[in-house]
Amino acid sequence: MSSSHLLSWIAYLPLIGAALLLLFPKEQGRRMAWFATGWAFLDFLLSLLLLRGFDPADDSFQFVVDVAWIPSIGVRYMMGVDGISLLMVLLTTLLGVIAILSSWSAIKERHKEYYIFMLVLQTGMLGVFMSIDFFLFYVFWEVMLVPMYFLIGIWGGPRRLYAAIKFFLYTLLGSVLMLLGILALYFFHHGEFGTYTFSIPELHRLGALTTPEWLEMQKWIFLAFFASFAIKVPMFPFHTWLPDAHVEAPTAASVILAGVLLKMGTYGFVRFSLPILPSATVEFVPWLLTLSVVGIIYGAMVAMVQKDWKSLVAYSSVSHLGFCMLGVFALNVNGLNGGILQMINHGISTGALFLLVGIVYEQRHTRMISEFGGLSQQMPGFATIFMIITMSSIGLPALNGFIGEFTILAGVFQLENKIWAIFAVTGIVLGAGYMLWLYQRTMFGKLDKPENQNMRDLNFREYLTLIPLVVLVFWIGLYPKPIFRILDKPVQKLVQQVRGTYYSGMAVAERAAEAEADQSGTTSTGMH
Amino acid sequence: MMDILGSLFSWLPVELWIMRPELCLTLAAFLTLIFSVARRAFQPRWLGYFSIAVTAAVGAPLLDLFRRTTELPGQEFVAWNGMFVVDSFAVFFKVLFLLAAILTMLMSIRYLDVEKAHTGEYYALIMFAVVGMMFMVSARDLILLFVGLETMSISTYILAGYLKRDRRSNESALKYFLLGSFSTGIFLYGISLVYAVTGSTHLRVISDAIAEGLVNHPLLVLGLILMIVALGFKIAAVPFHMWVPDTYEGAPTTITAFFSTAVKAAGFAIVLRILVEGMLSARMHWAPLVVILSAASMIIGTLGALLQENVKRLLAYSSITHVGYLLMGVLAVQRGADTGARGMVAIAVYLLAYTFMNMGAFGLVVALRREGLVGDQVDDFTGLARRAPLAAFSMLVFMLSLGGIPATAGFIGKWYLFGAAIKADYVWLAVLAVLASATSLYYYLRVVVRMYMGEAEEEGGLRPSGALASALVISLVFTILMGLYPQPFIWLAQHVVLY
Repeated sequence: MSSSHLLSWIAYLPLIGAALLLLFPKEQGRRMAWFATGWAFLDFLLSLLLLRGFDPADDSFQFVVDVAWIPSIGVRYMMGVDGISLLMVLLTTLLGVIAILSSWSAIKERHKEYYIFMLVLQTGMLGVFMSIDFFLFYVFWEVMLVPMYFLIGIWGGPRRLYAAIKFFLYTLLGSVLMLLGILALYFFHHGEFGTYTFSIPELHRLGALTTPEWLEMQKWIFLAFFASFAIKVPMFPFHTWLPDAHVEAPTAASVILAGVLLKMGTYGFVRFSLPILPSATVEFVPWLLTLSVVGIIYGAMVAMVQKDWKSLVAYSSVSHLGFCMLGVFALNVNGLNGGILQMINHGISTGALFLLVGIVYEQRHTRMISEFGGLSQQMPGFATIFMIITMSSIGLPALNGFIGEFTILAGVFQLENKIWAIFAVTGIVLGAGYMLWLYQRTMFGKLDKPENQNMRDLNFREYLTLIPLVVLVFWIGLYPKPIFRILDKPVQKLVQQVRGTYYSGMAVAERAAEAEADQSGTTSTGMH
Repeated sequence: MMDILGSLFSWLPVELWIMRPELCLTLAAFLTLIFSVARRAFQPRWLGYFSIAVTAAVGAPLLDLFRRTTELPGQEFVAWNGMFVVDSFAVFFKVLFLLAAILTMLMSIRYLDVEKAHTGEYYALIMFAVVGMMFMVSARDLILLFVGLETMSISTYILAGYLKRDRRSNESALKYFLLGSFSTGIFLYGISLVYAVTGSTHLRVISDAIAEGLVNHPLLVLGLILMIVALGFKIAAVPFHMWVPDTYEGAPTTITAFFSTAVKAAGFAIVLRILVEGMLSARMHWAPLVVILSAASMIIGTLGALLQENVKRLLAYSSITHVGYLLMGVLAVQRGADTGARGMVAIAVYLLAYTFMNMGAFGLVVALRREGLVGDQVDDFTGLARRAPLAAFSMLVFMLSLGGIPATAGFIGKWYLFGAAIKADYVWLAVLAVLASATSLYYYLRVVVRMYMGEAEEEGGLRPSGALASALVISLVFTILMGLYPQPFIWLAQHVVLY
């Protein structure tokens, strides 16, 4: 295995595993589960190799593979990671193992297809984070919908068909609009630089351009991208597919959906919208911040009144992703650092929350919060881990959520207008409210329901799925420096890309204002 | 092999030499007709294999012509006073027709047995239709084009009603025939008006005459409109689509597949020939009409397909949507080298992709057909994933490809067409197209839902004949291959340029 193709190996290893699964006889469900878990674990180990060769001091893409693919239209097979995508790749491979491991007892039929779809999904998501050719990115971006559609549609809850098609069409609608944006970008780049290319580093060059034609076009392309990414995140008001998909999806799919899939939307903003379309981003930023804040508060308030455990967690995702977006659209170093870290944190804590709901659901076949109470007596191990994750989710200091939210708020408070920060903080309070209330209603109180009295605590396999996440919760909470070190360079570069033209644009406006002021004979107050 | 065949025909005068494919196919069609009289001696099945072999063999002279016409850009062979032209544009479409015909005939062998309608004439008619199409795309004269069109049409009228004991098949043929001959009349009227104004039926002469100032002549414009109406019937664009659902549903499934691929491709070939080679200077007259046809086809096609319970009808409406997409490619053809070529290349790529994926989808419907089961209802696919995983997977790929999901041929085609529309500044049309394509996934996935998420009522897999299975495998392999590595296909399509 040559190290230059390391990324390809990581991306396609799950696909190879899926192909090998075809060889298993239909009845050997348990063996397939072992195989898929082991295979995903192998992929995780392989992805750890990236850490060894990764140079955090370098802000360009690393481990780059660049091969001609469709020369007639300038498409190249280009893969590479920077600090941001590296973290996403690691999150994906880790959650992949955990999700597959968590499905051993939950999946009772059609094992082979299930594990095949899980592995294919892994390949799709990894490809999204690794691609640095926009065409390739788009291929993975859409292909990945298919296995997820099947996972929800075949192994989901009672309304699975509705949820699956809603998920599929919603996200597809966004992505086809993005396709038009990509095409417009592609032709514009050709007009400007004379080459047909989808290479993302190459397209990033457009960000520095300031011709009026381009500034006008940026807005339209931004909206096209926004349709796709905002639906994926999901930002308010494009979130309506999410609760349905989450509630109906099997546990493992929910974990992946919350942990990785939603991050693809935020990642898209960070990778494409911000650096390629900086002036449009800056122009739309008040709207984007508003939507993020509305998402935070709305998600939290709706989560508060949920009767279903899983849909409570689903709505909490809307709220938490609002935080991520808030940080990203603060467009400063702190905000972006926090926003990206919070993407990871949300993957860890919400992933764990979905695992926990899944474990309860497997035993009781209901998720109604009112059906539970006093579980901590029966399931002390479960209650402990649930407590840690709850605390992580509401941002208790010394746990990961705190670091993320704190950094985001630090970034948002740097903004001229403090109103967003103030509203965002209320979101934290609400978040603590619904999570603690959930904990109280399910874990504390009297264990009065006879069905709950013979529930068992976590078994070894379930511990195995949760412990790595708990470890990460503490690690990031106590010592986040390694992660910030990886994020440092790419985030700085990103801020440079967005703010660079922003500042120059501001400078132009400033000069114009000064000239005007000089003419009218008053002194300029200046801007900063 | 090619050298042998080449030397075999080297004594022919060049007029006939460049018509080798048409001549061979005509001869084979007549032979098949003659053989089929002696039904005892020649079983229809063997005539089928014979026809497939001949059609495939005709590929050899075509490839030779392809090589010769692509040596230099703009290289072409002209014969019969400039009426008949062999350029890379024509050769590409001829290859496409052969491909569609071969796949159709492969799918037909067992199917016709089940329908108890297996005779040799069937294959002869398909070959005659292909000959007609070949003349259509090679015609640079409206009269020859018309003759080719009629040869194709008459063969296909008969094929639509081939199951003569089936009422739906009769209805299909009758509707197709009535509307088809009506549109033929309109087409002829259009030709005569154009002739009246320009004094010629030769496309180059017409083009020159238009460029020299006849462009706003009212009779010319009227003739152009009439021709577009007639072509609209042939390619089944809204509002001239009314015959499509019934004809597609009633015709034998294999023939429906043939209609939706080869016949449609032939229609687009002559649309391009006429509008681009003959009437490009009158673009301001035809472009608005094509915009309307395109937008209406996308909207009506999508809405019509949403709730269909019959797969053939569903695919019929979906084919109308695809016509809407393809018409964007026609619109993208403008003066100016880069943009102009893009539109035509886009159409070529799309038709190639569409041939594979649509043939495959209809092939699955054919595979479901057996004694006592028509197999054309969406419900007939229920639980197929358990009974026949490979067949279900193929159908999944074809459906995703028709919906334009990446890693399939359909995506590459769509990418090209939508790109052409954007490049030609028809952004709103492109937006409409992507909305239609996203919506279309809803009805394509309905089939997938039944296959993968429904419980099968019966046991036992599908047992397609070897010929049908090979047609399906070809379609599947090319649908995926074109999605993953489209370079050779795009290279091929890049020769589809009219100079």
